Amino acid sequence: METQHNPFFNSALIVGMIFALLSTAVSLGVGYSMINSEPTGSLFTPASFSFFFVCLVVLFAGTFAVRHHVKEYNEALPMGRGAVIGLVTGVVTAVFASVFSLVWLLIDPAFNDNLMNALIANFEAISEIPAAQRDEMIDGIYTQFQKQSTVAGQLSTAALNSVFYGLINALTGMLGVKLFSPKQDSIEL
Amino acid sequence: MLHWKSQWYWYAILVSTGVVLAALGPGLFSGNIGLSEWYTSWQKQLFSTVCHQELQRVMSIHEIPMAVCSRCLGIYTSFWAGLLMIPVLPQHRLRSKLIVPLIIFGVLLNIFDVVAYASGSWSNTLHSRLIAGIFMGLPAAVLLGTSQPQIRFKVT
Repeated sequence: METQHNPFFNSALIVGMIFALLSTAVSLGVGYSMINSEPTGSLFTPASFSFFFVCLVVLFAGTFAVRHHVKEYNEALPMGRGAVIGLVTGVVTAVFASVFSLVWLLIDPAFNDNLMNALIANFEAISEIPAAQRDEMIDGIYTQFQKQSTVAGQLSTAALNSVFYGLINALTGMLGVKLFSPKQDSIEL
Repeated sequence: MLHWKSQWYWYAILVSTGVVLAALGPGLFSGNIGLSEWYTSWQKQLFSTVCHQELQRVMSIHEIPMAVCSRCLGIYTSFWAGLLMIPVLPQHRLRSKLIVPLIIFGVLLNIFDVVAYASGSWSNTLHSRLIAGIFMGLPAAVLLGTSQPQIRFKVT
């Protein structure tokens, strides 16, 4: 039962920060590629592919935090411990991703406006959907960006992401136990 | 392993059910909303950092797009279904032997599907992406309930 007392916050912090940095870097890269390219008039852009890799990075932070913890202490972990490590890692990832995004807004304050304009320009060039639906989407994009430009909007986004990343990474943390923890025979009740 | 008597099994079921309900999008609760409301819905925002949510690649309920693409829908729903199956799936030597290779196959299949489509050498559909997602989510859930997976990654 000594494993229960091994501190895991270092693993959660290190992995969470690295994964937050990675996901923010990819998101910014995608954002700038949209801003600096001409509207394609297509619903599906090359930037859309990057989401698959961001998803793998963000949602499996818990798995890698468990791996880091196992590497540090080399002891069998119960499932619940993996879930807790994953939960904390997910929250750390979400918080740092929000902080990195806010820091970037200090470096380039026009980023969000430019991204919104690029998204709207792309939608205006789309001919695949009816004009009424296109206008509704543009309204939605505008409303969402306006919401996120306020402090309350940023905080609510960070809170929503913390809950979502935390809960999902708790599940992937359990997967990490199955994949990386040394053998444990007992059924955990 | 994750036994159905474990509190963590029920936690996993609870979280997974919530994620699936959210992934189905605002159309699950109301059949009368426009694309503007869909775009600003909490379900769409919840998944906006992990899924591209492109309209052409998203399935719909009541003609309202879901909150995730068909691949993500496959992953989340099959993970949920896999968790529900844990109490009835027998522990078997083959299961222990094959479960980790099946997960690796699912991940590689999806990476291939995405990269080959991006390079223009491969084409996929709404349903093929859904099935590819299932190959990732289902074995991941079954792994949680497998007592002794024979392959584990050595951490050195």
